[in-house]
Amino acid sequence: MFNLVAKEIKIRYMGAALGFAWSLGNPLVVTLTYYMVFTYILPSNQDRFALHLVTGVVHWMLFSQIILQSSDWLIGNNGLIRKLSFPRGLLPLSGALTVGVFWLVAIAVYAALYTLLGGYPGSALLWYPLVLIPYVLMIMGLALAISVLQITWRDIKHLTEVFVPLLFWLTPIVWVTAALPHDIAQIVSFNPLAPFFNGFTAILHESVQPSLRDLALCWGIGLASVIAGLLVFKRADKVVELL
Amino acid sequence: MSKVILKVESLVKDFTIRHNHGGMKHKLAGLFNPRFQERIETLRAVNDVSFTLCKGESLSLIGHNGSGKSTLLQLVSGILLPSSGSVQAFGRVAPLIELGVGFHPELTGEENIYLNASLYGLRNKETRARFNDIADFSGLGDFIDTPVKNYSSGMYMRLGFSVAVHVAPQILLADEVLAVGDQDFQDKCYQRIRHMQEDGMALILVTHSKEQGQRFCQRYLHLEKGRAIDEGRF
Repeated sequence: MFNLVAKEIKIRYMGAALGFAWSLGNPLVVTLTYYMVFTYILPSNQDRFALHLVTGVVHWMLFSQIILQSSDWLIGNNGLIRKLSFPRGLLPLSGALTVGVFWLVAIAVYAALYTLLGGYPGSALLWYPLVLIPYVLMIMGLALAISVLQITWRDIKHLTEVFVPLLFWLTPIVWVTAALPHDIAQIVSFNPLAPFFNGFTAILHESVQPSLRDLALCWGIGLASVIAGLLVFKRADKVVELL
Repeated sequence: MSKVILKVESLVKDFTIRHNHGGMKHKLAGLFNPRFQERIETLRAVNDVSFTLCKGESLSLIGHNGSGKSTLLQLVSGILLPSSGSVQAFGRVAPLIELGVGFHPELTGEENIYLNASLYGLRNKETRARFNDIADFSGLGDFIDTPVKNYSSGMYMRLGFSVAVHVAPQILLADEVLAVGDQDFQDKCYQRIRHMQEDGMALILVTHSKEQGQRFCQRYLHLEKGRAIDEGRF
């Protein structure tokens, strides 16, 4: 599996003089432009809005990249699957880990610029893994299911391409939950991604402990998703002939 | 009697063939014009096949195109699940359905060896121990550290073959790929396979030519339309 991940990373920057250093580029530019735009050009009346935005966007990247790629994990490797027998789970795992490695670079950039954006590194950060772990579980569950379902229903890929950007605007990234009108807030609270992003905002923006309700929801959604995803993925061996 | 290493019992595999399978547009048209209606047909690619293979034994599957040889091979290797019946294998099964599966053209021969071997279930440590053997056997010399995209097709196959025969499978399943490259390399392949058979590797070889089957195998199984119609020893 390590070999598969290494392969993807190597190929991505093959022949580029700066190589892996390029992976710093995108997160650096995103963070700094948001900071400049929302501090100097369009100053927002929200408290440290750039920090809120960048926190959301960085975490959103993990979700959207994994979900959008997941439909190709099995289909894109059909040559391997039909000609070699190895645990099928390796393909999603290596696909997600590849994204994960680049995301870690993005998080490192975020961490380096955290105080510039106005964040206070404090004891609230101890809660961070408790939100991040179920977040990753939730993403993986969904992605595993998508990778298998895509084999039978080729519409799934297009569906994700339409709904992931829509979901972006339904998630508290560009806006702040507290600033919403009451009835709209109620509708949006049904978004299963909301508790995770509320959690990230609480920890990284407000530097407080996330609400216990959000934490419980995160773990509930995360565990339910990963269990459902694994159950669907067990079907993978049965649909090999449809690849 | 030596140890049974592979046991295949009344194996059946059905495929669903869809004629005229299309999207919504097709479905709608099918309501009015039967020419567009979807028809589903079941094709029994492997029908009630049983055999056992002992350590060091070899079996060649012979039959025409579409007689179910390759499907049977995929079932034995665990790539496809049987519709009914069972496959029990004791030991590492290495399917060699196509040479150089999973090679990435941009990676060097060396990197591809590690990648390919790990897909056959070898740890990097085990590959490292065999690396020199693999590289020597392929006879690629200095090319081993250049990207595979620069290889000739013969070199590509030689590398693929070298990896597959060095993962030390207990059962090797080969789909008409036992002799590749020029005459010298073919002889080398032949010797290597012989050597592995003496060490107790079981072999299943898919072929249409009885001659090649005879060269490598003691037994044969003749398939036609998914059924085993004849079996015996050469």
